[in-house]
Amino acid sequence: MTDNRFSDAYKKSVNSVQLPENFKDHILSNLSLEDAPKKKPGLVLLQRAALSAAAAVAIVACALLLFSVLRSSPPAVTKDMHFRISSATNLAQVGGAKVSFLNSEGEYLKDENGNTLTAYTDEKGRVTAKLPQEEALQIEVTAEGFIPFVGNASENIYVCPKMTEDTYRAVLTWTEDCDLDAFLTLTTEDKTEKLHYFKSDILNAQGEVLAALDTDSSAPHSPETVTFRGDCQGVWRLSVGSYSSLKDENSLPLAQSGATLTLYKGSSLVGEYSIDALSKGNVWRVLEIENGELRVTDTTYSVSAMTDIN
Amino acid sequence: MSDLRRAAEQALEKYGESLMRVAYTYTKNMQDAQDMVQDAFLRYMSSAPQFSSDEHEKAWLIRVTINICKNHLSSAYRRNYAELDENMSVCDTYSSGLAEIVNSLPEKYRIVIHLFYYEDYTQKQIAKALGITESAVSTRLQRGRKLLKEKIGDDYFD
Repeated sequence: MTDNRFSDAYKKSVNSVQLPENFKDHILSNLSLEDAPKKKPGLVLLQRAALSAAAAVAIVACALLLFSVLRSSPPAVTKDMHFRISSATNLAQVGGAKVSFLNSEGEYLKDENGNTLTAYTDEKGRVTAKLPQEEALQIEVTAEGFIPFVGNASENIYVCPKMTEDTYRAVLTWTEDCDLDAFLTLTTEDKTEKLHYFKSDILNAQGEVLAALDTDSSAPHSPETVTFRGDCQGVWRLSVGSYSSLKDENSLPLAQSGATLTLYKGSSLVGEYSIDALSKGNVWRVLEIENGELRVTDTTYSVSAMTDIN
Repeated sequence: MSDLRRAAEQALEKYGESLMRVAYTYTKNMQDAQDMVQDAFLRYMSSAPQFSSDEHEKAWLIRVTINICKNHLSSAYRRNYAELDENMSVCDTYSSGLAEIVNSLPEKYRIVIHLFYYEDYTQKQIAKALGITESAVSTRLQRGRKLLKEKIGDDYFD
């Protein structure tokens, strides 16, 4: 994302705006007071003594004020929250992972001493933290051999092992009671289209695996993970289909599934994409990758059989 | 003149305009922006930080300016007089095309947009300056761009 045209035009626009005349002189003239003590050390001591006394009075006053405020206002509501960190590829529990938390503004939560609130998972990948009851809390997980993860602080967090730089991995999760599947098609340069889903990997002419399913899921809060190679020519298209809607037309619509697809490449998070809750259809075409270039398509449509997904 | 004073003067000469524009992105008022930069240099003088490079010095000043601006915006005075300040911004001189459009975005988007497109900061540098994660920077950048596209169309963007 460079957006050079916008960057150039924005710089030109900002630079055309006049700053206050002589603002540097004004700032410098007010810095002289700070510089003065170095020239008059005797005066500095007197000033510092006076300032120290004033500061002491102010600190006592602030402490009293703080004490009265704390007594009159209710404490922040916190509760113990439990998380389990597992691998997105084989569901193995990840021990020793470092876990931090962020508020809805993306700022790290701090403890009472002002330090970033941090915890580590036990050997079963479990961690418990006393956290404010905030709706949009986020969790950050870093662990040896895994790509750093930042996302919604749900009970089960799946982290992705690092890969070679030309490998992609898509992790599909959803929150509501339905059965979704990840679908991947590869349209090669000769226009041959190959479909990957839970029971068929994609192989090239030499029989090498180009795309494979790591884990299959048929229930919410558990990942369905697909790994595929980025070094082959052609267009990868990644979609999500609602298997439950084909079995039962009265099942929960795909739009209300809470589906999120997270894409990784090599040792980096590429992006996290969520289904539009107002969309229609039982297939969500999320993105395409053509010779390494990513396009987010984010469209939905309907099929009557999963093999119709393209 | 002390070495520290001389260093402050040189830093003001080199980075003063950048700092003013960062501060203005928050305050929308040139007089307030000047006060914020003034405070940043007072801290520079009082803490006499050591820098490993010019970039390090600039990054320190931008981070301190941003923190001062955030404190200013969250102060009781600013909250009480927010309406007055918003009206003042209309009369200000910062009303030039794209700059004005960016400044009309919510605060958390416009500062990220400014640092990314004006200062050419990476998402990692922005995260460090604002004390948030790279993921949060990425999200704010995407949403900021989306809001800008709604106002000016797609033509400027890749």
